[in-house]
Amino acid sequence: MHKKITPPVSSEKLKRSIKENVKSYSLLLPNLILFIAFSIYPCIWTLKYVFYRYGGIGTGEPKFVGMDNIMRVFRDEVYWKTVKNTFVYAGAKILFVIPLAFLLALFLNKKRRGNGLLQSVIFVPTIMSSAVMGLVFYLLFNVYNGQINNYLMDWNIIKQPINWLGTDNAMKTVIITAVWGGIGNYMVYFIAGLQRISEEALESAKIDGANGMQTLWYITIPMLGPILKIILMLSITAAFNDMSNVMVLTEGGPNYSTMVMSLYGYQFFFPISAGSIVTSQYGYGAAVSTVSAAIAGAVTIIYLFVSKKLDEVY
Amino acid sequence: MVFTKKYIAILLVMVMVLSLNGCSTKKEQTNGGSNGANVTELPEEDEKNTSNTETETNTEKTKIVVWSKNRHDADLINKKVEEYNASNTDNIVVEYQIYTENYEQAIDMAFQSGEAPDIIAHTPPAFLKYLNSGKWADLSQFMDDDFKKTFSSVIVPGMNEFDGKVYFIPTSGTTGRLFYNKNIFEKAGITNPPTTLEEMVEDARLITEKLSGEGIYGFAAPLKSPTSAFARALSFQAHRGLGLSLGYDFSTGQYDFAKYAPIIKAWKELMSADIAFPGCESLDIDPLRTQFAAGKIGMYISYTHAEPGVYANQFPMTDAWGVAQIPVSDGNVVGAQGYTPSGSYLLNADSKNLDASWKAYKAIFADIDFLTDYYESGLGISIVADVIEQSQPAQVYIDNPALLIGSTDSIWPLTPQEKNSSNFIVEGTDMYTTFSALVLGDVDIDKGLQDLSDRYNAALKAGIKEGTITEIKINGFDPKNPSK
Repeated sequence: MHKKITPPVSSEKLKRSIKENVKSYSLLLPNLILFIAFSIYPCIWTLKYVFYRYGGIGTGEPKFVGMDNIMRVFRDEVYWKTVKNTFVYAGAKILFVIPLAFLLALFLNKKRRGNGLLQSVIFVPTIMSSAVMGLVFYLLFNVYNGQINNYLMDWNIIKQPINWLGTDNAMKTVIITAVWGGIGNYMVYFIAGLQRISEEALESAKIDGANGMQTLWYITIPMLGPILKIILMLSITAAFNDMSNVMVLTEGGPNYSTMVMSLYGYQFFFPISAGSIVTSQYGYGAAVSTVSAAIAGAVTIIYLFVSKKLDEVY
Repeated sequence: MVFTKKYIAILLVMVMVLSLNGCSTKKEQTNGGSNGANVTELPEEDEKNTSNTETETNTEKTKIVVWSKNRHDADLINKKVEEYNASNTDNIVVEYQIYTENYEQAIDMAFQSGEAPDIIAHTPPAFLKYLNSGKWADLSQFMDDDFKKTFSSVIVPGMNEFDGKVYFIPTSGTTGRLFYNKNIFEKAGITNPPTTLEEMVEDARLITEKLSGEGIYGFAAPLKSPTSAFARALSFQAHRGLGLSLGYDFSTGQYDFAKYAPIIKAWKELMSADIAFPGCESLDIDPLRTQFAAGKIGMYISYTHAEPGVYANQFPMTDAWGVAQIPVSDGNVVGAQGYTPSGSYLLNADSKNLDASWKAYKAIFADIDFLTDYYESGLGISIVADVIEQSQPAQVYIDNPALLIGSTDSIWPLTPQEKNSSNFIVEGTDMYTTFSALVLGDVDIDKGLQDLSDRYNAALKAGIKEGTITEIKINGFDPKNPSK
């Protein structure tokens, strides 16, 4: 039996509610403490340093600079290039990863020998370190002795090696890596959604004479609606925060062509180039991160708003 | 049955507790001993002596803790430390710890928690970060006349001496040189390494034209990290060919990147598809070295201290390699080439045993016999005259004298952005990233360099106005003799 947690109205009611739900609150407490320590506190810390110039430990006291850091973000052409890159990266990743994950889920959801094994194999990249993944893809895609070029040349598909990590192709390579890394995760979500669709509904459609495509279009996809909304929301937030595989694969280069906004903010806290003379700029990094979070948040809110409106229409 | 299980469980717990207590050694936990440090294991009787600065009243010994991030010289240093611990009459015991990862962060944490070690192997970021906060001891207070005489050539105002205070003594150094594949040069019909930048471009072009069919290209640079690529090459070209350091002109006290135009234009040619090894934009230094070792790259520029060891041990090379001075535009050398001093140690000014730290430092790390061993073992290129005089250098240095720090190399003073790194805020991209954009992109080189000068001068001006950056202008500055 679940005890209902009643919303408090007055202090008397609040006290009574706490007394009645002490067990529930005590169960929530450990998570709440961790959430405050590792999510709320860092956010407040970051927001505070937006208004300071601070180079990190040992660089003297932080100096209050008001809105200077935020104004600098709006003047920073490189930052806006990273915002554009992030939209290209996130858009392309979602465009490929969601349909591919859905198709794989449809294929592997059927009771067939070996499907369990295939599901596990496809899920493996999700549990792999994205830094390791980036390194493996760097070895596969490098122009001088990468296996991808070697195979394409062996099969006479290309005559000259492709510069996969050069200025023109680096973003495509980063997107391929991201799709490969994310597909297993979304496939599992879709399989969970597909397994919630009642057999009766599918059988009724079959009895009514619906073919496979019609069943997919009129029964499966609409019934996946609620979970699809969550998958899309998760994929948007994940794509806007991805950075570790970019960091290992290209370090955001060449010439900022693969620099995404989260990595750009990160490097002001932890300069990524070895021997770099660029030192930590916590204040500006905090400003970049805050503006980036606002952009990612705005995109998510717009998506939720649009999906809510679509729910009302359909 | 349940009763028996209970007894077994209690027995197991007792065994575990006893086994924990019964350990005969204990790992030292001071100084945040995690963080990738190689922590020295101490015998049980040393357990109580865990504070790095604490005087050991029981044995009347003073413990001095040394931190380093260098692994390559650990055997020699450990041997020297053991000898010192066994023989010194000052009752000092030195504990040498190597931090392989996050060295700078470990130093930050140690200072933050008040548990910094007594001696810290110098790294430029750590030194510069704490230079203005008084964390480093002034060594000049301890230096006697003999010491000053021995190391006088490596005490340079603006590098390790500020306001008459000396903070560290470099004993070895590294700089950039052109490394070339002698077999490839011979195949392409080139008899000598290039001496001018123009020759370098032409030689590289010739190699690519003649040999790219065999997968051999004229030139490469590790441009995945622009800092890594240009710091080891272009910054030295600017010393020699322009008399500027990181764009800074010490005689005017201003940044003048516009003068870099001929070098950047030559680099643009070197990195063009007609010449460069394919994929340089995404190349790290080690993959570049593997391709040089495999005989696929004609020449590249890198550090003298690292490459000989790389091709002897890490990526053994069958072709013969040679080394030459970095070519400059028209061969017109206007300045000494800078070198990066190394083999230095900083003393923690807050150490309770500063005197003992100095004694240990002087006896171990500034000992001429030790420095001679160090040089002869090929662990570093000595810059101390007394050491060079009495040493028999490793064979690789005899075969390739250009690897050594010579009369055309010198230590340059720190530029404003090095000396005030945390307060020198440049808006937009830093210089190395800008160079990369100019070399690889379509941006107009002259305009791009002028914009870079403007941004760096604006950062300098703002810092001076705020009082966070000190103006550095040296009257009568001679780039051929920058340390004077």
